Amino acid sequence: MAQYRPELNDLLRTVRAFLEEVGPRLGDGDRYQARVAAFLLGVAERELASAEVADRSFEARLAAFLAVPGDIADLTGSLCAAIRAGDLDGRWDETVALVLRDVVEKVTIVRPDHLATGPRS
Amino acid sequence: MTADADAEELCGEAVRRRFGAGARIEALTRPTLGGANTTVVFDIVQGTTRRRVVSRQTPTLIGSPFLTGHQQFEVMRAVHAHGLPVPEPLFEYDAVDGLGEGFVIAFTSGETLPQRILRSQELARPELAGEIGGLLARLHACPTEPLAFLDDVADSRDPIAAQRDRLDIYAEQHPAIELGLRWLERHRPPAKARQFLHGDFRVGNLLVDASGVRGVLDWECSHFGDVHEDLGWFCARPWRFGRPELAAGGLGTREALRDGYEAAGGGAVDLARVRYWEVFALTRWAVLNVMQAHGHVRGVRRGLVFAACGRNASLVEYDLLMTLAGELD
Repeated sequence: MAQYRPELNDLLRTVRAFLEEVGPRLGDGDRYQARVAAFLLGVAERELASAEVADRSFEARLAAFLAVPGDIADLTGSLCAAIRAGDLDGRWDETVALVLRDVVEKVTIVRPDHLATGPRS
Repeated sequence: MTADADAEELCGEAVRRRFGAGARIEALTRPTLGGANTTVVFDIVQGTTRRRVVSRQTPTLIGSPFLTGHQQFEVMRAVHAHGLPVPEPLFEYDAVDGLGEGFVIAFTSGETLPQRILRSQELARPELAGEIGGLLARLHACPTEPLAFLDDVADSRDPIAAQRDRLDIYAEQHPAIELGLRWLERHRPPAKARQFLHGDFRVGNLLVDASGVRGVLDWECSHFGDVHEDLGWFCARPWRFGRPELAAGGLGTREALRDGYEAAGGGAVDLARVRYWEVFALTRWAVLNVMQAHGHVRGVRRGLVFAACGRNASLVEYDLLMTLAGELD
């Protein structure tokens, strides 16, 4: 069912803007909570914008890597079990790269600034 | 009567039972950053004397990696007796108090917020990293005999298995954490003599003023192990607060921390071993974030911060994998 304007991302942004505006006026504890609340709404906005694209591409990469079919939950479970059993020790760098790519996609939604954490100093 | 007023009344009664009918509590405040524990601060007033104290209720949650309130109290007593800067433990709550498990300790003033410490030239003196190394060396010298119960803590038996077992309880798939656990298994250093560890030793659990560290807080993760575990935890990336090049809590280098540790008689520090335990720290911190989200979604204790922890696990996993890939130090 289509709703009238504003759209969902606009609702989230509007509430986040309110929290960011009142937050600094609150006491220590509530100010912190308001900042976390605004952060979570920001996560929701970015997640909504990215839709399911990332999940699907990880599923395809994972199926190719493990050379078995399955949905994302099954494949992730197989990957975890294989890492734990040492079955992927011989493909270590490849496995780290695969998982890192998925984690980078998660971080891009959760806190994109974190990816700028500089290289080895 | 509200729950807060009820708790205040119970705290007052607990104080009268121990300090006499004339004792009362005043100036009660509730810091809201207490994590899973219910913490209140108040004055115990007896005649003309007044003492500010901290009361912590410490409910034990299923799958919790933390020591019970009673165990924490015992640890603080031992550490206090050893002459370390730790808030003086005053008394434990008992069944008659009706406050569940918990304890009351002396209030110690000082700054705990890492960002405020790091921004302050008065607090974040150049010598502080070395002083903290020295303090940690003294902490590790605490006798283990009075704390034999720590032998039974999962982290004392096998810190890697302890994290893996907890991850299984929280029932969420984390390939990045699996990679961390596997790497730790494959690179396990030869065992060292086990010593008393704080278990959560980082900026944020230290009360700091211009004279240095006034108090070491939060003893709920104490156990026995390799002293490099505490050193690595202190240096882990999440506790550098925007100063990644200063591994020792954003305050100084690993070398400065090591030099202070060794100068205080703490034994030789191997920086390669510290880096191993930094990988452990990232893995364990990721698991702890998963734990907070687990408690939130299961409704055990819900809240904004616990919800955020679930998503923040991916940031820790990023640091972990980038470290394993040699991209971050």
